[in-house]
Amino acid sequence: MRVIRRRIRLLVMMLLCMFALMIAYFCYSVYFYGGRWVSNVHNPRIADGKQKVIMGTVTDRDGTVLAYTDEVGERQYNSNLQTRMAVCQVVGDDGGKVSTGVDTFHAQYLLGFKASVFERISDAITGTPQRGDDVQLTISERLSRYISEQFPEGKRGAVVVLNYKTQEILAMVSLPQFDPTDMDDALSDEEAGALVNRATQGLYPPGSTFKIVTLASVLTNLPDLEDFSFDCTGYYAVGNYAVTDASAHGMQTLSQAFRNSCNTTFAALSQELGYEMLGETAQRLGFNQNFLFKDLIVYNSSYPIDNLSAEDLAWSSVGQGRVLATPMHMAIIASTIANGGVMYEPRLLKSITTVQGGERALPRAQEPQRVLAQSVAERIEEEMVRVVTSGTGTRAALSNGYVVAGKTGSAEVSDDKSVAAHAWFVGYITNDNAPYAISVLVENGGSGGSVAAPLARKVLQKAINIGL
Amino acid sequence: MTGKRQVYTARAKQSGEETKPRKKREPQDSPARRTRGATRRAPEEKTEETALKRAQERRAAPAARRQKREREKAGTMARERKRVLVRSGGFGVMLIALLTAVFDALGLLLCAVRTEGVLDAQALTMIAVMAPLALLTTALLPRVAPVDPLLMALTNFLCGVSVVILYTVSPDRGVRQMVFYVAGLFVMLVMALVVSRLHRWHGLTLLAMVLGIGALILPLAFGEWNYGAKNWVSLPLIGSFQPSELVKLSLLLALAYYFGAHRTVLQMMPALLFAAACLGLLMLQRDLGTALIYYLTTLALFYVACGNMPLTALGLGGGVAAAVLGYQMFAHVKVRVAMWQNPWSDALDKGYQIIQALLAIGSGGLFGVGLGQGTPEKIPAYYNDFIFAVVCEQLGIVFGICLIAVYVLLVLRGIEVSMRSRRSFDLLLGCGVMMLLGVQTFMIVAGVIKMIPLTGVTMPFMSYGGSSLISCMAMMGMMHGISGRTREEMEEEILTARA
Repeated sequence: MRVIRRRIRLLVMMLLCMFALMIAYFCYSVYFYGGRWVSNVHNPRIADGKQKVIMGTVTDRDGTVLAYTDEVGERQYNSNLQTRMAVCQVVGDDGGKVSTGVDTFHAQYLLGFKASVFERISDAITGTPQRGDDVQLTISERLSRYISEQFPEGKRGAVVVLNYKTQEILAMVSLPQFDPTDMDDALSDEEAGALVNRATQGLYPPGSTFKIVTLASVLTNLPDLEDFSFDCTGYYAVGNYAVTDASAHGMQTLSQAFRNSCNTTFAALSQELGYEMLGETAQRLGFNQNFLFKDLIVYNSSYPIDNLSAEDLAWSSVGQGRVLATPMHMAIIASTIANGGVMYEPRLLKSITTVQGGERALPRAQEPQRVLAQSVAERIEEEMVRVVTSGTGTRAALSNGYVVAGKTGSAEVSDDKSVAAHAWFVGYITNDNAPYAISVLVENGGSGGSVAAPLARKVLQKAINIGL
Repeated sequence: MTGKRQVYTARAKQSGEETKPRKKREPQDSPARRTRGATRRAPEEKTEETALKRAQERRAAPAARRQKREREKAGTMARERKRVLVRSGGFGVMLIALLTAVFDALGLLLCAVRTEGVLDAQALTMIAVMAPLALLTTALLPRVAPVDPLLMALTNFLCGVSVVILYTVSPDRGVRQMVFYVAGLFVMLVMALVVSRLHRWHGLTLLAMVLGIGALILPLAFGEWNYGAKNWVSLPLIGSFQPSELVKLSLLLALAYYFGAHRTVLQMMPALLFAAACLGLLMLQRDLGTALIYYLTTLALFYVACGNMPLTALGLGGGVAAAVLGYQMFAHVKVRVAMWQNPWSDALDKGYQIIQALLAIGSGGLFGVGLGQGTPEKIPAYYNDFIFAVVCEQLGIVFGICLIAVYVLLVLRGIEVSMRSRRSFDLLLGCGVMMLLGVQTFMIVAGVIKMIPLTGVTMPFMSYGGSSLISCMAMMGMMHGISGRTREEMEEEILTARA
């Protein structure tokens, strides 16, 4: 009997552990995914809520109304077509076609799901019809509109501007765009992909902008390679294939290779690093990570860590092959370098105001994480500044003492017929009074230095002028 | 005399806190207690024999001495009874009962006045049934029948939440659930009396086994496929029911009987064979969730009874192999696993149910949208398998976690009750019941929150359905019976010791 009792105790302990694990898992999943479940497009309660509750107003950082509910309960958007379209993917639409839009993703605030018991009771007593919270976003309607205007005519792509001091998203523009008041038009041409927010949902090969990550890995893991030099012949054989450059760069130091965006040098470096070290740095910088940001959905970037072949590693190190990233992620990497190697969660919500006029607490961001050593980040900044002063990114340079650090990229994508290149520019202003990080992507735009860099310069200049 | 005796029994049925001081006192009271302690360590059958012998000796004692002893007994009993009256059920237990009654009453009252201008008489009637039942079964029942007050209070709470929640979403089901609950209480009482009184289990166990196999064949012969399983059967007079729920009782009886009295694996064979037969039939019914419960219960009791690690590991390995085989063989198992890994891949069809459950839980938030609010009926099978999601949507995640805690408390109390029993049969039966209920609760709740693949078993006491609720109540009856018998034996010991 005694031994039986002892065994029972053991089993009960196991059962208790299972239950404890279950409660822990439950808390974890509710904490990290609960908000996403509510704001999911498949949630019938949002459509139901819209019938009963007056949806709150969405404004930009200056208070410009982007979306509101009129007297008859219809959802209305900004009266200016350009503004409407510039922020369309961020704000979303009434029918939830843009699944990541604020109108859907933050429906829990806009529809008052977050109202406390007391607020509900007071509403019931005073007889006011239920009304959701008003949401103020961090984006600037003016900057978004400017970006939409300046974006190369007829091209697709995305631009993200972050304030790397406050982590606020100042602009998040994706092209092509649609008019939320004319959804039939948008839905008739779904092929164009206007309903997709390319800034957060578009996965592109980052091309040479990924060299920031490779450089970070080299500086972190192999500091001896500072004085490394490599003779670029425009061709570097690895495995059965070769990594190529458009032209031979000749003898390259690490710094020169970064400045000139020399593929062969970085391919050679990747072989020194090995897939483990490079993979580790990439993952520290957010690749393969599930971004569970509280304010917005950002798709996972991917970096291959399966050690397929030396050639695969070589192409990965220059952001080609199977490496994929969103423009938002690249902007986050730029702001991480700007912050001395500390990675923050970007914010989209500036404030939430309840019907009673009170401020609702914003969802808490994840703790900032140090992903690179301060010295490494400083060295990368140095190199990124050189890219803009005397490298591939000279056309992103600003005047009036503003120093831009950046990296261009021309990511080759091949479909059946042609080899086109996505033009990238990732960078930031180093000055403290204009802490803007930017990520520009022009699909099939051509070379990053000649297409993306000038656009980045204009956008950064505009941001300074507006004084966000 | 019997009346007094029952009151005394009820007193002895108090929680462990009261047995402790008594234990301390006893050795001083009588040296006989110490010798009894020694015999207690001997094998179980012997204890029974000695108990019998002692009873005979007592009867043979001289009449005068017996009278004196009876007088003394009466005196102690009077004193004990006084204490019972002061601390009936214990404060905590009564608090739970009171909370349950208030919850039932308020929840149903809310339903009654839900539609403006119309008073729902049905809901008011239900208040009149549910609230007094919650109080009376906890406060009075333990005095007249072998019932453990804490277990009773927790059961009432779970059933009350179930009835109220079901009534808010689907009044018909709420009413029927209440009827099942009341019927379940009777079944529980009968089971408690049988388990506490019956001493020879051989015939009954055999009967239960035969009936069990027969019942499991029924759906295969007459049932119809639904939700990928063939586990329901409809019979004249009884109506449609799920035999696999009721056969759980047979399984527990068989396991406890053969594992309790016998020590070698060969002697345990009848129970193992019965369990294997059940598992086979359940596999044929494609009721894999229930099969898993049967399997885990059998394995747990096998380990507890014989402690044979290699054989237990072998059983575990066999189970894993069967699971892998099942995964390969049954398409719907593959779908379940795929939908567990990523339900969003087919959000509108195969993953719909689990996604709707998660959305409901998320929409409820920490404190819920409120009783009767929200749209839980969007979840397919919200009233049985997914009742946990409904509770979370309406009453909140915090309440959901409290509910899980109540189940844990129930299991702990059940284990405590069975740990105090003097016979290995009782011990194994109680442990089996609690393991079964615990595992089943874990499987369904973890399935609903997408921690493990969904297994499609019911949530004990909560899910809508007569078979499930009555089978759970019968299991609780077993627990009460065990607690009753243990009390009686303890009391006898004390009396003999005092004498």
